[in-house]
Amino acid sequence: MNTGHVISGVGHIGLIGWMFLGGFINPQPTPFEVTEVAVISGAEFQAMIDARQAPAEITETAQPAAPVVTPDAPEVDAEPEPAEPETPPPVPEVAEETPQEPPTPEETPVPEVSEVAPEAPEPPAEVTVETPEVAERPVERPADRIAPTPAPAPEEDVRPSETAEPAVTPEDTGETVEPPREAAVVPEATDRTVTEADESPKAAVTASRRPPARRPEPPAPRRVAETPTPAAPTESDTDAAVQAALDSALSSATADVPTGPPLSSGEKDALRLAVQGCWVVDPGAQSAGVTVTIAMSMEQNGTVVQSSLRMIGSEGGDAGAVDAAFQSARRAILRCQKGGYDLPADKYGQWQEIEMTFNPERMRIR
Amino acid sequence: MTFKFPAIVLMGALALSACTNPDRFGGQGGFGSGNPTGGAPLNGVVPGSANDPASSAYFQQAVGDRVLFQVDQSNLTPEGQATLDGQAAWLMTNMNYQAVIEGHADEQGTREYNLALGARRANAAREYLISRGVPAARLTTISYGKERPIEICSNEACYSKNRRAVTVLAGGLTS
Amino acid sequence: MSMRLMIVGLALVASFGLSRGLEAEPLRITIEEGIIEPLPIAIPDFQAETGEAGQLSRDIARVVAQDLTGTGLFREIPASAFISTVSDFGAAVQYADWKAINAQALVTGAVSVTGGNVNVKFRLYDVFSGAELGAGLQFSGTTEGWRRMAHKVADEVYSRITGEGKYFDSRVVYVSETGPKDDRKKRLAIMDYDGANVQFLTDSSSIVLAPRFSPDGNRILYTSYESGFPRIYVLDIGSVQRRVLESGEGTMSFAPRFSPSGQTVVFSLTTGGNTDIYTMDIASGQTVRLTNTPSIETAPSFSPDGNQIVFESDRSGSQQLYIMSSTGGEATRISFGAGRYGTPVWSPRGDLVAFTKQNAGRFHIGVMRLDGSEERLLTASFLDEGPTWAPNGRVIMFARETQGEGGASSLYTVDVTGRVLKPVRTPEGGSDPSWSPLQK
Repeated sequence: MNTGHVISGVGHIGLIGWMFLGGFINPQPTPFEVTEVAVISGAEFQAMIDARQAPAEITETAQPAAPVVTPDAPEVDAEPEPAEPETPPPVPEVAEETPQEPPTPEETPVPEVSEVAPEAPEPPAEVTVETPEVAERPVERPADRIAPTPAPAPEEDVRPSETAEPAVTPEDTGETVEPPREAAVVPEATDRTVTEADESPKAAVTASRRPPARRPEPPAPRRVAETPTPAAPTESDTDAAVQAALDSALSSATADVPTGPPLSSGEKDALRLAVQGCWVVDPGAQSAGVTVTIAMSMEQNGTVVQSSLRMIGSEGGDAGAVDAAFQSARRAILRCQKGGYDLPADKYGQWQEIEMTFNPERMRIR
Repeated sequence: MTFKFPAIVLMGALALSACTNPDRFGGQGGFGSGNPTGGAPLNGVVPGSANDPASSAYFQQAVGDRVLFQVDQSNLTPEGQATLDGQAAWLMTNMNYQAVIEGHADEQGTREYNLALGARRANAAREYLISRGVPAARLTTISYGKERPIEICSNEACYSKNRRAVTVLAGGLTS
Repeated sequence: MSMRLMIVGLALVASFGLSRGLEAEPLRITIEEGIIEPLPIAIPDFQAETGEAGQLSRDIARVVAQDLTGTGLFREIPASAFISTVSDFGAAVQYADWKAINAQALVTGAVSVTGGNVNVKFRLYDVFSGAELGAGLQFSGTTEGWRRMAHKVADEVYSRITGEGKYFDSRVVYVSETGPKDDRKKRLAIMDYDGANVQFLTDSSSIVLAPRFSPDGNRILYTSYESGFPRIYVLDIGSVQRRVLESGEGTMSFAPRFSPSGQTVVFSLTTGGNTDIYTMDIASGQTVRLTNTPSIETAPSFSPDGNQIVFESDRSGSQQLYIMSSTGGEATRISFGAGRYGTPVWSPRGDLVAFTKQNAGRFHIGVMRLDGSEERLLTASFLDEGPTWAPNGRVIMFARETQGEGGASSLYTVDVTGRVLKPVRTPEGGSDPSWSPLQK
């Protein structure tokens, strides 16, 4: 080596070393400090875990916790408050994580996070109540009734939200630059991007659909289960839904149902347009590769029998994507009905049952 | 206690880098010598001024320590070859100098590719010097890719000066 | 419509037919046009269940909201529009009130603090279905790590609604930069994916480049000039200890990446001006040369299954992308568009390759399928480069350098659709980002 370098180097070493120890080379929180914190937290975390023995795989267990029913059944609405120190069953998962954390406490400035199911408010029993209501034509509506009224107003309220939104977001983000808030809709936020995309003529013409992964036999059993939470806690969600639909069908059958001629293409288009206006598609998502078909029963006033909504088929995507696709379609149907879809009353028999297929193929990015 | 250890390790590394650290002066001429590109005055740390034909300052300024390249190229231009001829002659008469040839690229390119491209350029210069009789053992190469531009504007006037191979002398007093 | 679907449909129809006698078949409608817009979501401040949780309960809700709206897929409804307030985490949700303001989803949560620990629980509601979406969950950790818990909540919400994988609870290692172009100081830094909690891992005494996470997120590979020459180092994030991986005399090594197993490193080695791709077994130090051409081969990246490597080469005369077996051998060119392609990175989903493209004086971040089809440019600027994938393969982070004498580099993210482009806030400039896997 070069003596000159060495000499100056030695000097530098001393100086820099001193500075380093002095701590002002690195004004930011050094990893060391973090380490310390992490270590402590690890221990504490451990202790905490031991102490409370939080339930691990809660997710599944907690299922019932979702007192979803409440909304539909106002009477039931007594939603139990979660008991704070609920005695959760010891969680194996946590144990797993725990050991892991300690060893590498320093490396993770971030504290350990345990996934635990929150205390599940006792719900189940009451929930059951819901089902019956669904069956009853008239009774079922109560919940919806509330909605319809304010429904018109909503639109207005929403507007303001949007306006306010942009202002808030940028600030939160910090940088005002290119806030993508509304970008999803309008290219303005990401003008360049759009331009570029357009520029590339290379873009393949065909949208190669994702290889249809294994199709879940019982489409989105999860989702369904959560939604109606029928009496049967089993995966008979579908059955429950069907049952409900049948019930409603029966009850309506009893009534005098005008069938009339098939809907004209114009009438069908009107329905299609009404729903697609609320169908939000995320073209970049895996769910954009999923086609779902949803069946539903309709009230004579054009509203959807909510409990009858069910997925009867899907194509493409994994379970998560299918689930998301179903939810998105369901939201579209429920959201755009407002006070009821505009369908010819004299042809009720023709649209009492509807199957809607949502195919995002043409909306996928390519 | 846990955190002292890394601190020591880091310190050691700092010390190491402080003593070699060629990138500190990469692209700006030899160690302790004048800065050929900026306004920094020549300092007197290194014996021998630009008027001393055996000095590194002379090498930089009179002989020319760098050759430039075309966009995305590592072929030597006629001017570059002429400069390297001068360098070879100088190195052959000043045998106690080692040289590190630094290859550089302009900012128009991805980081990894520019590193590789800089290496090509440095190597092209080295091969040429060897072909002119400079012992290979005296010449090493390094690439800085686009990490050490000497000109900072974003147009060809600057880019053309950044696409370079700079011969940096080392070890003038020792071997 | 698939056969199976038809059958299912028919079966249902049949069952209805029985009970309804003469009723006709269901009305069938197919919808192929939707709208692309952010989903309105309400995220009221979380409930503070203990006195000390007051600030955190608000902060956590804010971070959850930032995570979600930052994707461009959600739009937060301002609290000023709320009709009902959530005063009790366990109370029944007044769906009508949320419907009225067109909130399609509602997130409620509660925070409690005991000592140095914080517990966060949340519930997600699908407002128009009038039902909870998935089960409630809770997370606990230290108060210092509250942001992680917020990210975990946001991840759950994001994943349940979009069906996409999670990615908020992740980190990014990158090169923090200061100073002008001709005197730029670089040091390694690590931060949360959103730019929070930045910590420096090295000083800026030598050039450091292109850090890359190990598959377990515990180690980082990077290139440093600290020996005087570019060499690959591996750094343990926890201890901040590092060691040089490769140090052949007269060579330089760079562009390292871990294999999915974490046991092998693929990198570029330059000898005599020629750059080729090698792999090294980390434990034994044994190297294998994968390419052997006079051209430049660099920027290698493993496929998620570890069987293939995508890399760039100028063997055709300009930088293009190629795929070869992870043991070397014949390579297949996949990029054929105008311009030059570099820095390919295989997506975690395995279906796309992100790259940097240079064409007509502009730089782009883009993606293409493995056969080079469906090339899509997501960005365009004076200089964009170095894409890295979020753990879910949905978002890409990259560095953008501005033009001219005052040019500086900073980090951005772009959604794989190209619709959502936004800066990542860092205390200094940034380049060469590498996204970690989802944290455990």
